[in-house]
Amino acid sequence: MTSIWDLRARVYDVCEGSDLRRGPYKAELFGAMTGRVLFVAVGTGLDIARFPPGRRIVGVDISPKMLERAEPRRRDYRGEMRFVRADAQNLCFRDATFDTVVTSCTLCSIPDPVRALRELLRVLRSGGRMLMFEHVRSRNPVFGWTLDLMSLWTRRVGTEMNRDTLSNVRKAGFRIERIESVFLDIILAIQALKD
Amino acid sequence: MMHVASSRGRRIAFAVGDCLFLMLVSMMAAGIMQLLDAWGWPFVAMSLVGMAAAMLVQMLLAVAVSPLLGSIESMTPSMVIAMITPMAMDVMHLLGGEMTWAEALAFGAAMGAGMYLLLEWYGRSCRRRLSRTAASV
Repeated sequence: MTSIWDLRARVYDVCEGSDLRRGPYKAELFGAMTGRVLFVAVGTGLDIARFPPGRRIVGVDISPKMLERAEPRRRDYRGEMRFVRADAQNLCFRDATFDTVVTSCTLCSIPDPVRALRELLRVLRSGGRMLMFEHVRSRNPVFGWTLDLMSLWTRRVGTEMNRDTLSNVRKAGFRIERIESVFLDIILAIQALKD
Repeated sequence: MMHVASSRGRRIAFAVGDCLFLMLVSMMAAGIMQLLDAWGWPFVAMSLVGMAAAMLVQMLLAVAVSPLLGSIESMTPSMVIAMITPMAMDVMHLLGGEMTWAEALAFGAAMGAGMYLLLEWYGRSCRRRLSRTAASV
């Protein structure tokens, strides 16, 4: 798992060049960050430029190479940000450490998404909010099947295109507060609460 | 939420980009099928190879435009049209319709524009459905 992402770190910014279209949606979603923030799966830090300034953020990623690439973006952030190498399925933080948890195209890449979401629930304080920018399987049969087809090769590089993330979020114990369509019912901006 | 992100200018620019891209992919798919037909390939081989080639070209085009239109946003609908246009060309062929190059390309462009309109309609229905879902949870 770590080695796939170490390899992908080299070409990630070139391949994942969707910021022009998605960036403003992310900026609006991430604007709701409050208090102590956990950002799960930093990647090369492309999203850091979309974070509101002045927040206290801990970023985690499983890949040391990704964190290495994200370092200049961390330094440019106008707020407090530190990185920790960690697996989202087994976080090294105490219960209820954070007020906000943020994910950005993260749940497609974690082997056991429900386990990871339960970890996020654990480290989030009661009443805390999770902000998710995620792509999921479409409910439309044609698009759903197309995403299943795409997963046949994307999963070889660690990405599943057809996850039922909304169900997984509920299964983990979160209450979904808001869902916005960014692109059809495939890319979603989700806000979920820990009651 | 999502006010700045969905500003009118951005929406129009991406709508035009999506529509032109789907038209291009569909025209390429129609062109490939027309080429195989002109070479006298048997129907089954033309259908299978034509669709596979159309999907290969579609993937390359989608990767090329992804910095502009987004990776999933360009890859998913264009993959659907890269499968549908060759199938529609097959149906036309079975019905005995012979097309000139100009007609084949125009047919491809029309299919691409049709796909864009379906996408737009589905996008609106998703926005309505998801906001209702969110309101009910």
